[in-house]
Amino acid sequence: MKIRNILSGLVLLLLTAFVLFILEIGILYQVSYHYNMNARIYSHEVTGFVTIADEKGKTVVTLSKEGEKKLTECSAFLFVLNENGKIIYDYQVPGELIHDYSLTEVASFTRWYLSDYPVTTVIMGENLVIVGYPRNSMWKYQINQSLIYTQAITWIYPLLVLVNIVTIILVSVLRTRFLAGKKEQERTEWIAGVSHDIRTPLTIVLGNANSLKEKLPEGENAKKAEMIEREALRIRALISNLNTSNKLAYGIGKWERQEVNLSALLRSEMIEMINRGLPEHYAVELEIDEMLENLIVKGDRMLIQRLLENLIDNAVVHNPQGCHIRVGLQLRQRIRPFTKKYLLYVADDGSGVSAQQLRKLSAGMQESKLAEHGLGTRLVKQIAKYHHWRIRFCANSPSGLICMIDL
Amino acid sequence: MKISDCHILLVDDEKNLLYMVRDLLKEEGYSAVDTAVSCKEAEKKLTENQYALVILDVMLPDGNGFSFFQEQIREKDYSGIPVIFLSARDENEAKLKGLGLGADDYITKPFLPQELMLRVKAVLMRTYRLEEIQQDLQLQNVMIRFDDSTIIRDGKVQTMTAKEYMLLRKLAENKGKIVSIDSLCDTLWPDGSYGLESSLMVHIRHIREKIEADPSRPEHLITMRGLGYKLC
Repeated sequence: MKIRNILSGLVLLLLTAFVLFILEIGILYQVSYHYNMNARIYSHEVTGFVTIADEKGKTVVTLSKEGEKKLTECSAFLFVLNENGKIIYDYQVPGELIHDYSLTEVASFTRWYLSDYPVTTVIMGENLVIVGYPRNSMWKYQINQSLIYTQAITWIYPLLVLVNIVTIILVSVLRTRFLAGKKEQERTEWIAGVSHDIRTPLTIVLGNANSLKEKLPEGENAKKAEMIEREALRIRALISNLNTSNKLAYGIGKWERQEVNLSALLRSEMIEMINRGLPEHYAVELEIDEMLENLIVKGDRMLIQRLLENLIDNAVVHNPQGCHIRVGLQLRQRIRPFTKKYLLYVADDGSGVSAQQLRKLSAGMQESKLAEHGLGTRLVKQIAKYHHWRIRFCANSPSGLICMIDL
Repeated sequence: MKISDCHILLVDDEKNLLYMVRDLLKEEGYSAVDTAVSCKEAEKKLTENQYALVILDVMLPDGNGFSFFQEQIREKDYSGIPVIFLSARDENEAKLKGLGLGADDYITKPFLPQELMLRVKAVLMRTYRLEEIQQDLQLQNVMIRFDDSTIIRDGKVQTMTAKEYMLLRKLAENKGKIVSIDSLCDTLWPDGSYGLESSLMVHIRHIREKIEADPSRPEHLITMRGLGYKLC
């Protein structure tokens, strides 16, 4: 799988996570506003509703109409204790709570509950205003925490969140890769299976066509038998290309990195092609720099053979009128330190290709597409890529096509 | 033993292919060719006859050709029989697996009849150290006689050197076809022929002096520039 796909997947994942996060924050705010803010009375509201004044040595407490309304809406009650724990004002207070309060009772309900009623307290001067809510309507909890622990939490939590995000991303990526790998495996097995099933009947077609060609007297039928044989051989090459291309695309082939005598390989390939019976209107020529006789390259012999076969076959197939095919190996002048040293080329003087086709030929491969311009060319590019060779297709002068491979 | 006397067992479950290959082998001169469509039948045939070669398909209805090869041929009394695998599997894998097990050769389906015949012949000759009798070669007014290493041109008898004999034999075996420089060098110097191309050219020149009317304009031993030589 390409890095580009993984990165785009990651960006999409992060974007989705961000949008979800914003939406969830909005929902939480709405819920909190609706169920929490309207169900309780805050300290600043209490100090606004309640007035405590000292009139002629007597403490007078008043609750505004607005305060009464708010308390009723929240089904809440309110009472005020003076410094001695005596109730000096009460509003809607359950009877069981009307009594004097000791210091320990005050200490208890400021932290916990008052006879199971959740209460909040506000200090006003020397007095304590208590606002209580119905039983089981509010959760109250006292938190005491070590400061060092709290400080540690402030940096551990972001770290944990980060670890979580990375883990989620990693799991998603690995899962996607696993599924993609499985799909690739299935595809490869399918192609191998189909080509396996084609091979046996094709052997019978090829063998019988060859046999007929040899036995029939020269004439129309012998030509037909020859045509069947030729087309069967094309199917054979196609199956082979399909399998090799697929294995190279998904990196599952068993290839060797061996020392290959390239000039000898070029010679034997071209000889084999001529000996197989290349029609007379095709001429082939091998041009090897004298210094490059016995040039050894590292690679897979079978793959290099397939590369040459496909390039030469392409020249033959695309120039039915015949052409002159030159295969060569040249030593290059090194312009830059990293310039490749040797040039392998396959050139023909045939009809060539249009500018548009040339652009397509020179364009990179897209793994997912079966073939942009024939399976043979795709395989040639894959083999070059596998060996880290640079491949170019250019118009040959004065006509035809040239494929140059920098080794 | 003559190569045509070799008794061959052909094992493949596809009957059309089996009969086609059997007929091709018979046409090629192999008079005794038996067929079997399963491991069981092949096992029975092996006990009944003495075979010189087994051509074995990898996928058989009652077993795997690789296992059959290991269990019924290599580990039994037939371990001396050479085996060529026929495989519809991918080339590389069949090659690695088959040859790794000790098979003598493999051929991937689909194949041309000539490809199979060449391999059959090569395996039989290698295993039984058979020498193919090279027929004398007539090239217009030139007669190349391998039995007494002579070249007769226009009634004039000339002898061949050992290297010339080897070269002419290789070229005669591939008459009308190009033989690469590398292959000719390997024939002359099997222990290593690096840098001996110029010596090869000397031997070629000497042969031309014996077989060509005008060695500078050869008509029988043709140079295929950059590739090799062709005898025609």
